[in-house]
Amino acid sequence: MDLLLTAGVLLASAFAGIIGSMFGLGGGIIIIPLLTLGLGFEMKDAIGASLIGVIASSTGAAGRYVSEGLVNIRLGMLMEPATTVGSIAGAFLAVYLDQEILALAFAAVLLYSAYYMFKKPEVTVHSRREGFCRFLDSSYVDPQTGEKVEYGVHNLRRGLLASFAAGNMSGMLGVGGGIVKVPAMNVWMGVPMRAATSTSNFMIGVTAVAGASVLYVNGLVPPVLAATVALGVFAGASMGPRLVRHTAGRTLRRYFAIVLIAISALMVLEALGLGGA
Amino acid sequence: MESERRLDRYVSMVLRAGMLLSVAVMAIGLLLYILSPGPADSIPLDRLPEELMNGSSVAVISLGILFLIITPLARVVAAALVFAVDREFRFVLASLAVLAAITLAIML
Repeated sequence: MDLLLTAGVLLASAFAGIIGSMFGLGGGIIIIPLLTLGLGFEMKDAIGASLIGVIASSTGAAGRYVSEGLVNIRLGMLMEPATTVGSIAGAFLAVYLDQEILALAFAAVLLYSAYYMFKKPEVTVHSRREGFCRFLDSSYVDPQTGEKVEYGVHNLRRGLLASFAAGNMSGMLGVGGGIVKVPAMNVWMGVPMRAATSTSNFMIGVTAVAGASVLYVNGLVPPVLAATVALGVFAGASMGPRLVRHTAGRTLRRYFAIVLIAISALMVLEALGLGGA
Repeated sequence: MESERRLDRYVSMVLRAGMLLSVAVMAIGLLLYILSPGPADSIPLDRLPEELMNGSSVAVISLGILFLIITPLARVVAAALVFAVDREFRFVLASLAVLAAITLAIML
């Protein structure tokens, strides 16, 4: 890699790190096309490097999100195994199912979530202190308004199913699960947007570890490219949480809906054979 | 509430430490690599110690990547320990389920 290319990789990954850490996504959906279409790397190198980048995006921002009290660690740790098992199932099912149809179906779900997030106001549920969900009650101080927000979590079962589906999606299509988990937490489970994106960001590192270790052991993580991507993503992921601090939860939710629309458009293009990722 | 803050504190400490360690090692490795570029092929895990002894820059980079991959696992272990100390056994179980699911994914 010459210096110009290195600078390109750093910039591309810093951008992915900012977007990924702001919205609780892995950022792979941004890194992979930038590396392959934008900078001419091979797909297999881009995949290995981007998984390392996803871990960096999570680790880099989660330290801050957790210490600000925004991450619902208990909820995250319940959803993580569901996602991982979902991705294993997805990898097996991918062989039997038509990827194009699958991508279109998921794109439709994402578009519906975007519509919902635009149209319906956020509903936070107050803790009812009953059932298992009482262990998941959480609170945080909103960094933008300075108000203390207390919330309960409901529809845990549906949320776990959504995590499983999010894992399925990443196992079958290679698209990260954050894009499914954030709306599931926010729309179904009553988790405020800020906590939902932070918790998703926190979870994604663990979800990516399984895939990353397999690629690493099989020599499919190109060291120099992956480390360059990781450093760029780290830089971006340290900026993302600071940008989010000054954004109102409601605005964040709107931006997220826009990201959802953009990603479903990418998936449709891809399914129709027009994309490059 | 107090226990939630303690959980936050330890988990974020592990995440930050892992990040600093992997960034430092990867940056040193990349710097060495830029100073004397060579083949950039990935190094098998069992040959990593030997290559590190030989002062291979790519081996240093690979070590940094390894630290990065281990960090999310380390924070699961840290959370499990805090849950165990707080006698929240449901969540100790959840943490173990996370590790089990990842092991399963790697073995398959």
